[in-house]
Amino acid sequence: MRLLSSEFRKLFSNRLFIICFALFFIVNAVGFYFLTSSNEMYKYELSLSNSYNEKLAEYLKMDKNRAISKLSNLKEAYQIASNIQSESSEIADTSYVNAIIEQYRTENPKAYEMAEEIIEDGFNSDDMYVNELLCKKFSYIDEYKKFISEMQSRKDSQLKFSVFSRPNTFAYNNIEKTPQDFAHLNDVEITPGYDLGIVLTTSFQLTDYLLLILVLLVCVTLFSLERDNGLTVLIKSTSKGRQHTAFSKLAVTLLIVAGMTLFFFMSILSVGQLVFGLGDLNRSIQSVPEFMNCTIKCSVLGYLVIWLVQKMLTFCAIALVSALLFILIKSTNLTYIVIAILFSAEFCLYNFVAPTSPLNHLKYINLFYYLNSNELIGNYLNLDFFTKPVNTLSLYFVFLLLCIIVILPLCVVFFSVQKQFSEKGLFSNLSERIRRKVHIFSGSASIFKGECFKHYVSSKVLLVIAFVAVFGIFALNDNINIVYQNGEDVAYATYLNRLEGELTPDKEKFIDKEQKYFDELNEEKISIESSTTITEDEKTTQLTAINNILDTRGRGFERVMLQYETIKATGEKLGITPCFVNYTVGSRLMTDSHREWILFSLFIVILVFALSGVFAYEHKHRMSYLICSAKNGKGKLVVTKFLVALLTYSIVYTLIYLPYMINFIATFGTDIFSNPLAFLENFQNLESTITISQAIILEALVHIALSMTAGAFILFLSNILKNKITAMVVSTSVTLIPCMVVYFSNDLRIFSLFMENRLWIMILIIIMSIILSTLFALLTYRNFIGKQA
Amino acid sequence: MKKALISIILILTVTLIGCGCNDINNEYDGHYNYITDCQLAKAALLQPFAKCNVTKCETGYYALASKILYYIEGSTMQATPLCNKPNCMHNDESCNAYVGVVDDIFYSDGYIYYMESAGVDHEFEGSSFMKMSADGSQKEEVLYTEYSPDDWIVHKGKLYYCVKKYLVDDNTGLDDINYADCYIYSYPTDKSSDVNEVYFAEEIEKNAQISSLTAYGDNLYFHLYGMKRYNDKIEVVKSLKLNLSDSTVTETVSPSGEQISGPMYLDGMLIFSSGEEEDGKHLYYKTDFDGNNPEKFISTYDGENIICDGKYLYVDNYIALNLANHIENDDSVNKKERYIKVYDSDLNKVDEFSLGSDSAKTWSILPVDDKVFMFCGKNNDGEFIFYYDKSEFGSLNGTVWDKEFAYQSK
Repeated sequence: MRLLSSEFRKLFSNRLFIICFALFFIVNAVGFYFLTSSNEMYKYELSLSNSYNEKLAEYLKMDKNRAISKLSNLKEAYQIASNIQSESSEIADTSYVNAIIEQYRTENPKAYEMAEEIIEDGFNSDDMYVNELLCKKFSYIDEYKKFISEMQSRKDSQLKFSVFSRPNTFAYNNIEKTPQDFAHLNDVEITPGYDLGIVLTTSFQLTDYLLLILVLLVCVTLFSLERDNGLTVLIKSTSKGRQHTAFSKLAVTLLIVAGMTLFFFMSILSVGQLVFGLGDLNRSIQSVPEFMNCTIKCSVLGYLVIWLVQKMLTFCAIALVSALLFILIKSTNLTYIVIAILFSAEFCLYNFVAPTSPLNHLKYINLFYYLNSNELIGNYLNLDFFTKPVNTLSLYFVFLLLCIIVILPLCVVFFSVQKQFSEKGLFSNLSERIRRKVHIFSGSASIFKGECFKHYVSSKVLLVIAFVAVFGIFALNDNINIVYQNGEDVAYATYLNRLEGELTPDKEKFIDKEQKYFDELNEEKISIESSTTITEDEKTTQLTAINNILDTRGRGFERVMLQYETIKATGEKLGITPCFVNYTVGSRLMTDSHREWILFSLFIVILVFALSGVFAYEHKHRMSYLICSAKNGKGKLVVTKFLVALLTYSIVYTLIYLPYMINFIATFGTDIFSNPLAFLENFQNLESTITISQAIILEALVHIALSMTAGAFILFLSNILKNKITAMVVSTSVTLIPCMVVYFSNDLRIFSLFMENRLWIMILIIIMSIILSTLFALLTYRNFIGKQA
Repeated sequence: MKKALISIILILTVTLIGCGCNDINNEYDGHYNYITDCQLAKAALLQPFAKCNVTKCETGYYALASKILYYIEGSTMQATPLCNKPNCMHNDESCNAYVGVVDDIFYSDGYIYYMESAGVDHEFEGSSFMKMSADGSQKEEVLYTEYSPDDWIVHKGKLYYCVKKYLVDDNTGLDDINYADCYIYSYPTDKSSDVNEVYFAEEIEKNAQISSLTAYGDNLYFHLYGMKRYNDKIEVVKSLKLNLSDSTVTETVSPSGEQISGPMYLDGMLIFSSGEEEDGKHLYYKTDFDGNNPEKFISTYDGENIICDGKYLYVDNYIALNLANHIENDDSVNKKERYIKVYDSDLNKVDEFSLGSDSAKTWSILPVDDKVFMFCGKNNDGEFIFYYDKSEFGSLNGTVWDKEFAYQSK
């Protein structure tokens, strides 16, 4: 018990953990509220929820068939009313409108009568929408009954086909098994209700990412901090053996993780209930259409309980796996890399492997799949294991069992038997001998050289830079040439080769000449088509030749003409000479959302890895007493550390962003850069004459500002936390979670700010970033200067 | 006694096997093996981009309709989505049978092949050749290419596809926009080696095009069109045959030197169309299975089209229905409805029938299938797959042939 309580105290006395917990809790709840209620569709449905619930209650009191019939008639009536309204307002010819009305009256008199009443009372599109929603919900009752009752007949029908009826194949076994797994749902009652709250609450993903970070933080605190602080020798010297310590640590980890999970998800449920309402919790979960394929027979409340428990168990399993990694791997850098690779790989496998790929086992035996509880519990799926269909939920239980039976004991065993001190590497003697021959130590090194050595050699940042350099080489040599798919694209590109740049009188003459050419060509085509003097074969030959030109060069010119009209209007608006810009090349440079996200996220990951140890290095190696005793004060030291960090920052930034730009210039030249951005496709709303090169510089400044803030924050954390792995974990959460949110939302890109003419936001971002960077740098400086070693 | 019994059983067995071998429905009739060979379904020529959306397998057919792949059982002619999940509604991308926007499908040796475009944000980023297992449970990418192939087939374990590479640089003028290099590449479907350049259209450059790719036996057949390289005033129109063993390329021409093209398989021989006329009719030639020794075979009126299914030859008046000028020499050409005459390989008339006024816009005839005509099309109700049972040949006598529905979307 004392061991348990001391482990709890270790965790709760870690201020960082408490701060992160509180912060993430607030971000989670507030994030859920804002992200869901800012969605226009959800907002609209929410605004109609009262009316919806009132009408729902009315219809629930009716007989089901009567309700469905009334709703269908109303649906038709609303449609008629809506059509009459719009036709009356749009069509001037009243006799035509009357004819349409008469048609409705004769085709469906009952619905027409209801439509008349609706128009009399005042047609309301909101009511129409509510009615349609209710119609869908009520017709789902029969749909579901049919879905379940016809499962067996669908199976029989499928087995009549030879592709599915070969015994001992997965297809056959799956078709046999599925109806059996759904058989117990035959008597499930479907009750329509308000489903938005349940669906949004259970599918909110930000909570998962925040909890992942907290789980890592718990593992760092309990399994890594003591090793970094040199206290492992102390805690492993126990009279009763180390197993007790190991069990206590693991027990605390699991209890805390379970508690955190419960806390976080309960907060989401509470916000969901307050904002949207969760509806009648006693109806069957299958009443929610999104859970039609759920084979668990329970109420909505029961499903939520299972959902919560499943989340807790999954996070506990993740905690066990992370704990094992922290116990096994003594090096901080390596631990971070392994965990980053593991989670990235799982993420990529889950999101990018197709459901029917031969690799789909990796997609569905996957941490992120298990975190997606609605898919795991709410959507029945079998995987092929040597032709046997195995349900993914069963596999999940096997995974949990493995964690308990295998990973838990391994954690205890490795914690107990591992040596306290790192042994020398296999080649460390050899490398030391080489180093001594190569480098002769001649007195004291300068602070700058010393910091560089600590940073690049001891902290292995040089390896990271080498990795980024390799990335840069690939980016430099990547073939980014445009592959033309058809003559129209080639024609457009050829026209733009001629027209790109400012619109001059010569270019306008050229356009007029081309327009005349195509007008004459079209006239010739018409005359050939109507000619009676030439043979059919000759006609075909001539028309084919003309059509070839029109289909390629002609279509290319149409695009040019559209662009011409657009740039003239934009030029007039901005009071500058219109410019032709190649849309294909321009969009590749300015609106590649994936490239922007990938490069920036990679940059941030590298910064997290490289800078987290700048101020933590001496604490890890117990040299803080040494370096803090400086004759001229600590100021020079902290400035030097900043300089080294800045050097790394500059090198990595250059290696990530420059190669693509060089490659682009080598492939497409520099002509495009001097053109105003407003003349590029989708940027017509821009009310500035900023050129493309200026826009790129501005975008780069935003990237630099944001990443500098991230870098300053990482250095700040490194100084405050005095521990590299902790700094890595916290800075990952603060920097990469927003990146994940941005990843899923293609609209959140810097170039979108140009498109929406919101340059002021970019300026604001830069200013705020400068302020924050300066603040973090000052705080770090003052803290380092003022601290006692 | 025992020996005599065994002998009788053996003789009976051999006889039965022998009978089975003559059935054209067998995978291999001595020339064409529909399981491994190019199974290009011919479609009505009036559709400029007629789709090969039906393909034959050992036990039935696969057909593509409404972005969903269907399997049609040969013995019952009933269709089902190619999805082994009884709990699936087959209405979204999670369905195993969902293939998206795909034009052609080919069955070859246990797999169904199709091509899909890769791309993000509606921007084209290459094409992926995909293969799907016969029961639809697995899909994987065979090959990715950054181009959009003009034509492709699967033949004897290899993927053949034509690609056009436009020649564009800063010096490209408006008259040069249609300059392109055309290639045919091959790639083994088991990914056992790299992409191989099979043919480069050296003699054409402007308006260059390789099309109508098909294969029979050891030969690849295709159509070459374009303006001569280095002399873009000279038009090149050729029908070529590429021998896959020794890579020799020869033109397919009639004895009088005219181009013959578009081979179709008919009972051990290939039927080519030509631009030649005899007595005002279009001439068709027959050759041996290797495309050699062309001889005159059949001629048709203007507005008529010929298609073969390996056993029968069909003369179809579909083009005539849409032509303004008819040659008024034959009843079928002047009919106001879709009319088809059926002949065997000796040009004996077997039957004739009408498809009535409600006829499909495209119809897919498989190279070796004596069982059914498969029609995939679209009517007011949506996509449909229906078929006509060829066992009724001999009894139709010009009447409207009744169709059976294998599938009709709702």
